[in-house]
Amino acid sequence: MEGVRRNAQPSPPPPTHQQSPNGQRGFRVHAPLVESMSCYCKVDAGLKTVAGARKFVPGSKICIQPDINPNAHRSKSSRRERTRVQPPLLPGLPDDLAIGCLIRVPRVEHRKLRVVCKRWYRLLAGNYFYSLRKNLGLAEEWVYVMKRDRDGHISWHAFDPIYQLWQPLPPVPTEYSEALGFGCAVLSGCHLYLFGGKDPLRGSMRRVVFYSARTNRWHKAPEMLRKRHFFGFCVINNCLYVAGGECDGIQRTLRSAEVYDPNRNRWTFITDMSTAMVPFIGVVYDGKWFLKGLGSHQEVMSEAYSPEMNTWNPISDGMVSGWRNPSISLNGELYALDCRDGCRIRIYDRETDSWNNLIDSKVHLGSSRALEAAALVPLNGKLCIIRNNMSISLVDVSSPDKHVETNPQIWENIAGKGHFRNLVANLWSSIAGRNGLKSHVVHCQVLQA
Amino acid sequence: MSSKKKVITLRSSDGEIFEVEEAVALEWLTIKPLVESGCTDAIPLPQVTGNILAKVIEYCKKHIGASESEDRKILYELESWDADFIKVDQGTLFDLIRAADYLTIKTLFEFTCQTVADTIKHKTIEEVRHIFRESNDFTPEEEKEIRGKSWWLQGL
Repeated sequence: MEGVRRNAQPSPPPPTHQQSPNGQRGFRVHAPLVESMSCYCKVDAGLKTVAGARKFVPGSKICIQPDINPNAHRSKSSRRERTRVQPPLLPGLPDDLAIGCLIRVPRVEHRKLRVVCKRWYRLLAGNYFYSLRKNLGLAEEWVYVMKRDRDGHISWHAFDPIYQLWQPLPPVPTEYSEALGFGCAVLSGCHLYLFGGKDPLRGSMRRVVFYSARTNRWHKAPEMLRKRHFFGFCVINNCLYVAGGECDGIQRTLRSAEVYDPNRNRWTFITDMSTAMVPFIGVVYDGKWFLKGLGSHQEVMSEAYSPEMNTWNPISDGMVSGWRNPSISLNGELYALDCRDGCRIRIYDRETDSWNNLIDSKVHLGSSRALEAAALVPLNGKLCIIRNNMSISLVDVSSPDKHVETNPQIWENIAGKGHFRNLVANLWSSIAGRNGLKSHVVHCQVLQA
Repeated sequence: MSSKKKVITLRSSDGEIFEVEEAVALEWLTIKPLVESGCTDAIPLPQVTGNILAKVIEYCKKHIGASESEDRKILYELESWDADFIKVDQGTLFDLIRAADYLTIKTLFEFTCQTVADTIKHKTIEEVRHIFRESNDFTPEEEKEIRGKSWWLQGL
């Protein structure tokens, strides 16, 4: 229950009357029930380059093991000695209380914290810091937007909805800097994976990389079993599924599907789809993964995968026929946009097997490519619409009053075009402007840290 | 135990005696069992000095009941009262955190920790190092590695 205790003096004895009050403590406000400290003391490894990170155990306990070092034993013992004499995180406070302060620093400042001193760097690189933030409800959600510029380059930025600031990020790994048809998904709440896709020169890839919002770095993950691009993907129970798509060379549409479990750290095949397909839309709804795409003869087809049964079944109901991109499953309901600029939201009604209008913002923005709503993501329980021009709207779909006339808070525009406040984002915005309106959003995700 | 305004006696590390209402002391989880057991002696608090204990009591008295209020005006007043209350030097702030931890007072602990966290906002790295007396212990190579040769860590 105690988590970390003091680094210096032992905990003072509580008042000595009768029974010890410790047994009565209902909670530890600063260091509650957290995962082991093992990673916190090993995170020195984080100082090594990402490229050197050979192995990692993903999931809840990420550890990066750097290249095998002939002096490993020596450095380990010296590290231990160093830990023993290590100065406190905040001079004047025991470390557990210092951590109680540092975990409350807003996420927007974390890049800065990492550069103050080694001890803070190690603290933020370990699992401990961010699992504490998560367990105490202090984790913040940011929207990550990946764009393709007119020249074909992939760039990406994070949007902090609290401070309404666009944040710069470490560039995507070079193999993805111009890739086409790659997948993008989030596992464990804080790891953004890029997988598969087609390199303009080298063709289809099996490659998998992931970005950790906790370390602000890119890492490598095991490659997929098949090369593929323009495939379908989803996350169910923190496992990443991919299916169908195309593969270079053989020039054929794929039927195969595979799953990556971050806890086992490997890919395995699942049942093939009934027919080969290049999916163009997918969603997880009602425990199943729905995919709609083009078959090998360019015909539109749909299938649903059941993870429990490991089976694919063709589907042809009102859900699928009225289903358009982008769509999202949020709190058990299925939502999609009803117009190109995302000014109206539709919901799927299971009872009548039809799509119905749900909320109308009453503000039609226009139908140009720049204003096109490119993605829907869940953000702090609300539905978040991201447009190609990087404008963002937040819609409180769970609110009982769905009319903007009587409930204006239901539809909130949090990042208008040109609504950039920091220097880098301004720079970025001018680059985007130079590229005209041709740049467009490729993927959007939400990461917690 | 009869009157509703029962008073609890506390003794600070430097021997000062304080009296607080039972309702206030019950919020302090560390001494709650003693209070509940009807202890009538002065409760010794060897980790908290008199001047810090006075601040803690002042905070808790102000907050008891008020924090749960839904009246916006009361909450607004409480917020500005808090802002004045916490205008203290870093040593006192750290002592308050220690005391809140020792006595297990959740609201005060969260408030004081958040205050420390907020001092980092809008500061440069050098300013943060100065405030917390941290020294830059990265080697130039490590700092380069962390900041990267990249633009996205510059201007901090």
